[in-house]
Amino acid sequence: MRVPYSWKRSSTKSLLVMKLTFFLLTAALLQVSARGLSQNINFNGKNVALEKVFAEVESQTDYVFLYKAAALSVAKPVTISAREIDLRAFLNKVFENQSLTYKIIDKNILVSQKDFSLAAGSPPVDTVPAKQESINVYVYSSGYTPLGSATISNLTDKRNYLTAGNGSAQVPVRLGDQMRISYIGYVDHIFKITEPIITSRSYNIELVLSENKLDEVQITVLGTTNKRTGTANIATVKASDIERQPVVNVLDAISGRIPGLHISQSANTAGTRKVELRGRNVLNENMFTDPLYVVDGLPIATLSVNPYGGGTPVQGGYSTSENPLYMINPLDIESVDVLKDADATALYGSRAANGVILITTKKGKPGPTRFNVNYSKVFSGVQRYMHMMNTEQYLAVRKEAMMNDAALPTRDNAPDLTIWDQNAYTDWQRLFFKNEQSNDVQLSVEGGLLLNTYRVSVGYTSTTEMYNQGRGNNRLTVGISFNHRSPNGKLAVELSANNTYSNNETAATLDFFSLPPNAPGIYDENGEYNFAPYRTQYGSNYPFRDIKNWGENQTLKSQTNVGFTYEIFKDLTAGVRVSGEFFSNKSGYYMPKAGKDPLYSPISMAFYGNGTGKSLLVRPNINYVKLFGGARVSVSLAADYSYADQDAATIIGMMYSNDNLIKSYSNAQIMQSTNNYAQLKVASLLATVAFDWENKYIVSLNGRRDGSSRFGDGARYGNFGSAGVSWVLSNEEWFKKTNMNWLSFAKIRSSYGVMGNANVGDYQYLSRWSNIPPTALDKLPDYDDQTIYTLVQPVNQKYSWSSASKFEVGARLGFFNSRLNIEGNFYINRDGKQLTNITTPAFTGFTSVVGNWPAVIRNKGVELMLDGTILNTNTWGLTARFQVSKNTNTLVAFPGLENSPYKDMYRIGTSVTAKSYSHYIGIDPMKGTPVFEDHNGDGVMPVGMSSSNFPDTQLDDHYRVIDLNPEYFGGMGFRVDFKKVLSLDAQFSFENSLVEDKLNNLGYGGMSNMVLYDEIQKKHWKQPGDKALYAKYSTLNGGGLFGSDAYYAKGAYISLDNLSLSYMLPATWLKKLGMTQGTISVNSSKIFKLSQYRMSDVELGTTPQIRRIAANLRLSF
Amino acid sequence: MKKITFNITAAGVLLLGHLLTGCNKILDIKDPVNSITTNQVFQTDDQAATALNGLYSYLISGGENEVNSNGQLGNDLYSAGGITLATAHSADELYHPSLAGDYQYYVETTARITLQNLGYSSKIWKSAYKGIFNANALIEGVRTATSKEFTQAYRKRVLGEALAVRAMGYFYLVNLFEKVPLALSIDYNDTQDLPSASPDAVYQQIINDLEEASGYLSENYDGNNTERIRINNWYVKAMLARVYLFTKNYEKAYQNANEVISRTDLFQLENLDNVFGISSREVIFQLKQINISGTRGNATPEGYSMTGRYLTPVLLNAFEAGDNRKTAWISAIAGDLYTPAGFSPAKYKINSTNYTFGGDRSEYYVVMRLAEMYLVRAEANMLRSAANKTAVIDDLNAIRIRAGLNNLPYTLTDQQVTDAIAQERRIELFAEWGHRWLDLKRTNKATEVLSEIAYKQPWKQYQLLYPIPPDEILWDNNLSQNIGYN
Repeated sequence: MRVPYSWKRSSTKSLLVMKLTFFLLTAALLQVSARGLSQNINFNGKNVALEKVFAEVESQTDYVFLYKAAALSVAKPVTISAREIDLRAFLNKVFENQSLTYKIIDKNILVSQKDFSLAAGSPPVDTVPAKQESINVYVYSSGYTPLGSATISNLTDKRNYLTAGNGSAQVPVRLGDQMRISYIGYVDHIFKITEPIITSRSYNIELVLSENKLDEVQITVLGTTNKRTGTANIATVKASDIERQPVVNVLDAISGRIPGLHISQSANTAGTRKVELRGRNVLNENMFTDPLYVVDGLPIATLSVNPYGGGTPVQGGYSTSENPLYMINPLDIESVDVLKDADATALYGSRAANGVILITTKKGKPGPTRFNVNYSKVFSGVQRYMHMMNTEQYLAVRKEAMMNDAALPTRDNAPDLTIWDQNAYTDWQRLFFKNEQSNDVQLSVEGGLLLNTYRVSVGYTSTTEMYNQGRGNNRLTVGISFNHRSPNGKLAVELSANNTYSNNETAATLDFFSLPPNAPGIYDENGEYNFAPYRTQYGSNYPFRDIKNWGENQTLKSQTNVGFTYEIFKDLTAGVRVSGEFFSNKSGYYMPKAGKDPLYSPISMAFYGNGTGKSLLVRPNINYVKLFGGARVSVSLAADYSYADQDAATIIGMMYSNDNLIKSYSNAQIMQSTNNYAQLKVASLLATVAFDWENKYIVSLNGRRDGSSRFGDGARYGNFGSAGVSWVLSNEEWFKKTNMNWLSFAKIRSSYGVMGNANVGDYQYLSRWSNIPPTALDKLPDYDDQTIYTLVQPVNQKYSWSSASKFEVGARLGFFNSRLNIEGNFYINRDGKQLTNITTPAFTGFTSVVGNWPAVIRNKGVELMLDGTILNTNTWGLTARFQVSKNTNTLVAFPGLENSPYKDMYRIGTSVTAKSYSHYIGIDPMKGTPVFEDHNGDGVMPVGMSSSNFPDTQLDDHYRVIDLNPEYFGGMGFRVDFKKVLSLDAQFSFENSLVEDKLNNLGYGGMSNMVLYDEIQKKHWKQPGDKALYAKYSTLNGGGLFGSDAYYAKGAYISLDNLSLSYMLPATWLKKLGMTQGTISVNSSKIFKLSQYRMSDVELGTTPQIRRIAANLRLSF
Repeated sequence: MKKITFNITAAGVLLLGHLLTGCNKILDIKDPVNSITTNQVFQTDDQAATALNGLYSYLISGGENEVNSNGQLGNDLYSAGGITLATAHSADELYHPSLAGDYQYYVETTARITLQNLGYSSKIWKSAYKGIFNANALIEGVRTATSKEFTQAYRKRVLGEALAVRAMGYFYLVNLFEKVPLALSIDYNDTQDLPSASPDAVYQQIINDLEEASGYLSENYDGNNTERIRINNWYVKAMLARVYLFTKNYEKAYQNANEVISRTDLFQLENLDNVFGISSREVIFQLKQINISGTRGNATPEGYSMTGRYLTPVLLNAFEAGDNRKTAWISAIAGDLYTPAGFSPAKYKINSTNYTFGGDRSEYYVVMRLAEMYLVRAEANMLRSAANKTAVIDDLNAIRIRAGLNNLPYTLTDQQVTDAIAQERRIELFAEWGHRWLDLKRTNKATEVLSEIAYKQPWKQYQLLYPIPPDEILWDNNLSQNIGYN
């Protein structure tokens, strides 16, 4: 079947129809050799029609011919005899006398008429000296994607030219001129002007993506940059590193890989992560300090509509416990860029005061249709169980404690010693932590040629969490991306969409860890709840009362992005980007009566949440690039308008007649509800000037005006700006002359910027009259049985942007042809005009009000990165990487602190997270109880924590300052390749910080099981006169060191976060199976952790860390 | 496609232009759904009425919908019987038999309030100021309102009631703390650094507010029904009578009290069992409590919290033989293994032992009643001129007859009359809104009386004022602590 003016994929394989009218014109010019041809052809024929030759080739190889039907009308029949001839040689022969030519792109052979007349539409801009010849240079990347604004340098006469949007430029040359073509992210191409070039008046070149880390493309203000010349501090993790890790949340995949980015697990669920970039910069502990998350250009909005969270904004809005990045399938992510300094974050301005984490999803790569299947089976298990006391040991401890306390064991105070079986033993840890399995499957199709590329992916992940009593998480993701470029190269359109459905189930966390080993089971011998042995005179102590409690959280999220770029004139482009997102969230937490002792008339209860939200971003921009001699100047002007709104409703239902009716609140006998709505608008105007002189001196200037609806009238706008410079020493002539071959690259850079921060709840400036305070769930009482309104929030319309300044210097060195790279950065961030809740005298009406506080917090730190290629041969490859960062947080200024409400909360010169503690001296040899230093000598020993962080030590004994921020943290890894088919990659993370030593607060002798029996049994106080390390056993809280310095223990650890072994299936097997690529791998996460910490896990405390091992199969067809 | 792009670019340029001019509209957002702004509140009479309800709701419920562990709504004892409780313990009306430990009102009973143990003084301060803030919000709202649908008549009403509530707040603050900041605005920028105002200035403000309110308010009880649960001109006049008495302007105290008493069509002394009832004609203003689940049910704040409080023997002994108030307004505590027997105030009949959720409210929380006006008129009249002695004795007898006591003879000496007024105030107004504590201070009898009470020793003069909550001084360095507290 032939379709005029459409592409035909001939006979033996199905017909591919695509409207690509522009192709012929350009393809005809292309003289580039196809690489990687290794397939041989056998053919024998006389005057064979070209189509039949094509069919034969297609049957013998996996190559496909593409051509416009009309093109073959000029074809001559072919006579050829070939035996085991290389495909390319064969094709050269076939096309020898034809007025046709061919071109190989991946597995496609494009056939077109020889035609040198170039497409109109690339008017010469630089005037051409009369004597010179003008040639047309066409620059493109793989798949004929034209590269606009690529620099063509005539190294002989030192003139530079830029290509137009269609990749072409008219360049005046003389015979013998030395030329260089460069483009960000690609290897420079150097060539000489030869006679044939002059004759044909054209030169076409495909630039090759650089594999050098220095050239890796990074996304910046309104374009791209790389580490070779960039002025900004951007750290990037690419898909290849993400894909190797069996994680559900991409944050886990970048953890330990980005200097300065501290990701901590607050819980063992996939959704929850605490993310902090370069230290805490706000006084207000309740404000989140997460960086801004931007997914495909759309910032994830944070609004304070959560009825429970009150004034604290919630990211993404769906749920406080779900990190918004959980909504993205890690396999759909092309790269994660972490924007750290003022220059890097200039595009996001005020919202980027905490840095930016930029997620770019995968786009279709040009080429024939590829179908990829990825399947993982994940097995999860506990990394390390704790060694706990057995029943005999436990009961001995308890009896000793009872004796020390001179207490008589009774049914009420010690059922474990009186009524419970003295020989029973249950390993509660292993009872609750069951090994689980998860499945992860992703299918994707991508391809497209020239003007249109696409990618479609569907992923499904089903995880059963170990500690969730069989409850699990499901996530379905669908990603679509489509790119189009107009035939004349002037218009580019980008479309992408990400849709996610997730359903996360949770179960109540039970305190299994501390259950006595002889505690009676959940069920009695009849299979009924075992209430009886847990009853006391006063009530029920049944520890499994919440066993039937569970929650669900369903989120549907859809994001669509459209981007247009249009080249108005050469060097002047305009574009607009529109992104929109919609989400709806439904959650429930159910507390049925089941499992609760009926003797104490329990009530059933349930919480329901419903939320919907949308956000929209419109960003028009105009870019202009111009060369002035050796200097390339680009100017961009952009506006940014984003809108977000969210709706949330919470309903509490109580007293259901039947547990089975609990999912509907209409069955509740008592019901309470609240709802909430918030809107946020942010508008910015941004101007950027970038100046690049011969890739030696690079300057970038950004200025912006930001407005946010978070502020009241008159306080909404702020002006901010940043500047960045970099100096590439290794591009200097004098540097090159020094012949330091070992030092191949050297760059220093610096940036400074001032931006604002609107990190404050919504509507805080508004006079709000209501019968329900913003943080409450209960309505205020009526009067005279009529509804009331009252002012529920203090009115302060005067607060405005806080100010954040960021200064940074950095250097990057490459040794031995960039086989070893070192990068170091030093930064000072100062955050002033703190937006916080200012405590006010109660006589003003409220005890706190949102306002700007003149405190300045400084975060100062260094980051060091090393990466090196140690071996790179055909057989072996070995690369290694290392990064470490250290941040120091200091409250540097706080005018009037001594008279302010914060005088006991913060101390100038100290970290804002630090607190002071009493000093633990040891165990009293006579009493066997802990002794704390009476620092002020008032004869009173400090017990517990004091009410403020820095009490006046004259009045208080808490004087030892401790900060739990890490001393330093970082990561390292290596990768070994064998024959390019087998590879092993390992990633470690490490951290040194003080952590709560929960053990030190758990006195031995209470009704709970303990770790470290042997150690404590030997060294605890037994009788007066003992010089003991641990307190006497006591049923009272005898060992409690809470509030003292001894409560904190060294928490330094090194963790093997990821280990993956992958094997690429041999090409011969693949061919037989009709596949183009296949990889089998075993990936694992959280394999082990080395730490001095004595509890289960240094990050999670008593909860064990979960280890995941995934068997993964990845196939491409 | 070109066209589309150009259109989009054009739109972009427009947007740029918008931003360049700094146009604010682009950032205007919708208001939250669960609240309205000041503008909207003072848009119509109906909206303003809802805000006015908020003023009363706080006074009776303290901003809470559920009782706390003390059986109170919120911590706001000012509005929940707290003034009565704290001051009755500070004076010689209530005590706790064990007199040890850290139980409620211990520090007030034993006159041992310190900055470390503030008793309930700080809660009285905070809730009084919260009530004042709410009043200020209404006053500012009315004064800046422009809507025509918010009628002039209704503006007067809102303004008048809010001014009266503000005056009531400052009256107790100045009497209990003396040196208090005079916050008249809801903008914390204006108020957070305020110094203490002199008591004279505070009283002047109270009088100004009341006199202004008096010009606005109606003389009818025209609330939901004929219940006297909203402030009208009679409350303001009664309050003026009290305030003028306290500020020694006896002429005006007399006039205002006289005006109230002469409206016999509205006000009459009730029989003792019905004084605090919802249909009591003695009531000038009472607050209507909520009775929903989770609260004190249908009990009034004092009805609820007086249960189990012990009246001092000196007060019990102060009742004359045959005084029906001793039986009608006092109930016996039987006592058991843990608690001794005694007597507690029982002016309200619904208490913490017999309240019901959703039950009928047969009594409301009385804030001002006619009996006080008789006593104010008597005292002011006597102080105006001893020549009015006969009329003074008539006023006292009106109260005495109702209590089942004999008439006082007209032959009493001046001093006897003055003593009789004090005695009648003590008995009639016992355990009610701090009258006894305020009278002891006002008449300079405090030291004499309180230094006689063994468990209050050592008694110090400075204890007549409660300490300014130390937090307030911390947050506002322009305030200073009352002398004696450190």
